[in-house]
Amino acid sequence: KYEPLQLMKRHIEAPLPRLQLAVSPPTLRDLPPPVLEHFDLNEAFFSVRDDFAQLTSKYIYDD
Amino acid sequence: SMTAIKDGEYTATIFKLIKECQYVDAIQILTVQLQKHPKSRAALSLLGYCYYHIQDFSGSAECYEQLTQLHPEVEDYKVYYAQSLYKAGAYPEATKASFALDNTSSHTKMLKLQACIKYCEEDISAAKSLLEQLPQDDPDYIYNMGCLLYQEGKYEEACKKFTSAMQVLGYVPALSYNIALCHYSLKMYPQALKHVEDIKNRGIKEHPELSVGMTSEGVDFHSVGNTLELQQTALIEALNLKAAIEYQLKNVKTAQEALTDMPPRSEQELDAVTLHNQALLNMDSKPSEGFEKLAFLLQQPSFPPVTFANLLLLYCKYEYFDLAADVLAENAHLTYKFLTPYIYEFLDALLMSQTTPEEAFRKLDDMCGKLTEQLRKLAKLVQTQTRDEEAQKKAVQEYNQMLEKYIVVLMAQAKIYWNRENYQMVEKIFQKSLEVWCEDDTLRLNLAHVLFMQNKYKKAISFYEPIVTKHYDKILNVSAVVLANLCVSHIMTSNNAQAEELMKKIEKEEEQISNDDPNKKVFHHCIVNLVIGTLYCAKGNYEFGISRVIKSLEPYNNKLGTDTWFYAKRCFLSLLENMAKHMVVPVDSVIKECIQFLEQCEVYGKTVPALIEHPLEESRIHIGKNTVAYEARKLLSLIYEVTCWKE
Repeated sequence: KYEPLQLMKRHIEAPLPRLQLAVSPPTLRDLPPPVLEHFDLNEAFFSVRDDFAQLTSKYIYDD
Repeated sequence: SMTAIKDGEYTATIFKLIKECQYVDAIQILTVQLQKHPKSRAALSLLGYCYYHIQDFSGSAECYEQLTQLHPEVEDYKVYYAQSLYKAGAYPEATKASFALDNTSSHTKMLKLQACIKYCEEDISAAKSLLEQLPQDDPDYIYNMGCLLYQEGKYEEACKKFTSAMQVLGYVPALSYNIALCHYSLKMYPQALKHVEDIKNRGIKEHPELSVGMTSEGVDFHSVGNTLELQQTALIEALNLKAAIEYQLKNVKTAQEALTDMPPRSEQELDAVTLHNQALLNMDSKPSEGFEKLAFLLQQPSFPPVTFANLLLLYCKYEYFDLAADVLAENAHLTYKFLTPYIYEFLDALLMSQTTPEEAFRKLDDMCGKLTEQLRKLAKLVQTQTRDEEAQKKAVQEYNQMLEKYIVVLMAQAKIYWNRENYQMVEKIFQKSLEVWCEDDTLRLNLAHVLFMQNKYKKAISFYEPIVTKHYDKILNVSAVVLANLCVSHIMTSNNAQAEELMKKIEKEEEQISNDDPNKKVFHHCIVNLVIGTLYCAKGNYEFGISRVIKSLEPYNNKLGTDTWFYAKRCFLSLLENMAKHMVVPVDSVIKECIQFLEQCEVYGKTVPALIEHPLEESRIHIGKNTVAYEARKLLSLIYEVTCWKE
């Protein structure tokens, strides 16, 4: 757009309504988290192949 | 690898990982074991526990569902199953699972869980009637009642409930946060900030592994993940609240710091509130990313309620009125829920001003009328409540907020005439309001601008000058446009001495700043000089005007910027236009000066953008073309053409 040389940018301070940051609403109290149960994992995760190996070695040594 | 564990070392390894919160590593091992032993209670229970702790609630729900089937005798598994579904946001499934808890041992837990679900489904009255079945001395009862009161907008009562819950339960970060939130909603910012600082300091002390504040100090940290431990510190909520308070108080930098103080997480891990606030607070530096994030949030099933209004207002700020209108039309169902009547009416009128300005003007006028009435009432309240200091303070605060709303509407109204260059009418609108609201700075500033545009320099001075006087000790806090216009007004009313004095004052302060911090760029003096140079060019005195423009940009490496180039290039274009029309014939030395200057701009302007592009522009200007160097070269070729100059 053509216009003759003007002193200022055509400038008006037209503020917009203020923006708002978000906040988390309060939340109801949760039930307590799950309890950590104790297990003997060495027994629970004992692998079958190792089981065989142990059995065979048992026989070998028992002989 | 982590999964290769020798027999006999599982117990020690896995419980050590859990103790050190290395849940992801533990999950890796346990998953492999679950494949080998598909019905292992140990694997399922520990996996459920670990998933819960990294807040992968659908993961934990799956584990606990299997456990309820394999071990129906264990009541806890039923609780954890329903609870995991709730935390995963699967509300209908969670409700169904909660019915399995309807027995004497779990009845209270069932009520609490069902209340949580109803609360999240925004069925506040159902949540309330469930909670009312709890024993009244249950601390959770007081705590949860506080939340319900908050949702009903009864912030003072809610605050009391939270405070008494804290007396029973001891310090709980989430409670401290809730108290802060009540203070925030009551606009009691110092009290709110005190609780926020408590939460932050405890987080730093008790959880050094969460690296609070480290990112702000420039240290790069790995994500700490969304663990249950992080959630229990309430740090994310508290720091978002701090940002919101500081933003309200217009301390944008402090607000930004609150976000970078957060325990580090990767972008995919961010919650909706943090993502929203990041988008908003970085809008100036990264507008296109900001728009992307806000639009993304709006697509999500739940988003912070302020997202909708903010996105619409930002589209308007960047003058994407079509996009704003589209979003408003596509989301008509959100309008009532998420926009206040004020915002809705304002947006409606603003969008209308693009197509039917007369109608828009009328709507804005209606709004002004209503707001004026409210302002008068509040003014009266301020005057009558002189005895109660607290009440008066609150009335003043409300008055100021209402005035801000009024100014917004008034300026939108004025802008309709401003865009048509009907400055007389704009002046009339401002004058009329000024009689009533004489204290408002925006109003006075705009009136000064509109007087200036009409060459009413004496009157313009009477409005510019008080603004400058008010900040005389820190004159660089006044915008360069205001300083420049005041100088020009002085010159135009033959008060060159006063203009000079002001210029000296600006120069002195800039020198002080560059002595303190040589890297800091300040453009005030330069812009004022550019505008004065422009003034002489506009009056036809190009020889003086152009050389002032050129001088003002020295040293080029420091002063050549997008804004300053804007002022400079207009003068050159005007000179070229008048040379082409043979209106002016500058002496050779001036032409030579121009050529040398533009050649310098080619050198120093390679990385300076010629204009700031709009963030959502589809067709980008070629990166090489959007530089001061490119435009300077173009101006040079025009000079050669017009003058038939030969080197």
